[in-house]
Amino acid sequence: MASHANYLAAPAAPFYGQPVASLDFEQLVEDFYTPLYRFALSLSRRESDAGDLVQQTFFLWASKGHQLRDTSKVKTWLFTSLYREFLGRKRQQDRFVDGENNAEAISAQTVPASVVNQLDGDIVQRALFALEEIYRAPLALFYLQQHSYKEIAETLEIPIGTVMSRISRGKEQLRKSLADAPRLTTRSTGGQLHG
Amino acid sequence: MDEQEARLILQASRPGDVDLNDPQVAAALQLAEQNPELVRWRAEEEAFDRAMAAHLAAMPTPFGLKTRLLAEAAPSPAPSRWLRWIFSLAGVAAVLFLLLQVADFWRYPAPSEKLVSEWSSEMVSFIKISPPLEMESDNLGAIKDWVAEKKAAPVPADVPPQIAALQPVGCRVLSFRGHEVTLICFDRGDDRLAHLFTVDRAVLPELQPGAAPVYSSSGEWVTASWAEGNRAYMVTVQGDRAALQRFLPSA
Repeated sequence: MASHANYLAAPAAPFYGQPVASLDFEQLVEDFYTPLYRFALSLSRRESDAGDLVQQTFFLWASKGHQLRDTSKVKTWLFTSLYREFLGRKRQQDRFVDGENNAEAISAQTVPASVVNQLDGDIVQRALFALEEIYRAPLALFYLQQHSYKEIAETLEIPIGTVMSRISRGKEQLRKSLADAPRLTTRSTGGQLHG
Repeated sequence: MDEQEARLILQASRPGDVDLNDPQVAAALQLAEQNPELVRWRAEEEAFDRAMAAHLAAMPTPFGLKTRLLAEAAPSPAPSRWLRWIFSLAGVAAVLFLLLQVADFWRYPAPSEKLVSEWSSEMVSFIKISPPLEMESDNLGAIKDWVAEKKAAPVPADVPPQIAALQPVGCRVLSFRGHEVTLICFDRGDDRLAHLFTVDRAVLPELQPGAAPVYSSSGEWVTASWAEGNRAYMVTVQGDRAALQRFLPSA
């Protein structure tokens, strides 16, 4: 049975070459369902959609995962599959918030880390959700802390330079949103953030 | 590596020492350590990242999700030999059916009404983050050569005359749905730019050569997309449609 560390480790993982088919499904779910759910929630901003996205991702793994040859790519495969599934669904649905308006509504203030520590988790989550999707996806992966910027580029299928600039710009927007947290909270209770 | 590049790299590296083996991160850190302002900035950045990561890690997962996943997404037990044989036949039939569908799709491509809208929206979003140019030059020919030789990306064949008359600033290659997009920026004067995007026309089948441009707007940005030859183009400027139209091929 593969351990958690095996999937997440850098290229020196000792079991390179182990057949992907031999990976234990239950262990895979145990290791990844939580970060996948958090990534899915950051993307979809709805708990029910996030759960469905994770379920669909593992369903895809169950049906196609055996085609993967490199065990070290399991993590990227799962996150990329979830992201593609999200994009596919998003194209079919028209119920997502216009992130641009949210971005334009934020103030020019910034907020120090000490304040972020004291903020309610719900406010931080809403600030993250209010970001434009192009920033939200790489930032969510970044803050899950399981992905290097190179892995984020691979997962989202965008150039490394784009990942860096989106993380930078996303953090900037996030700080501004958090500085404006009370107004953000008021707006979200009106149902605008969740469309 | 300059200070701005170091900040960009360090902002994308995880707090702690997990990314220290990355040569770019190591080089950025080395530069940062020589600059007290960068040291202070880095400390604040790491503290912010740790706080955000802690909040994200505290997001609860729904009760019963793991059980649901194991119950509904788990692989089925391996079927018997004759069942596998039947499945194989069904699989071959499904593949043949799919191939016919794909062939039909390419013969009669379905219009994707939203694709052009997504294209203009994503490209404008990119412009808004003011990305650095990959190549700077005031010579359009040199830019085209660089794009073709260094990037093997789509080169604009028919630059509208009003755009071509502007002084180029530089270019960058982006990605849209896995396809390369060439962005060339032109100086309009008064510190304003006009941006020309070029992509293979097959990426945006809705755009047909000879058809009127498709307009859209996003905040202060207005865009027009059209097709010519085997390329699709988009011009975007800050301003109104009148400001944009003078840069279009028909102007």
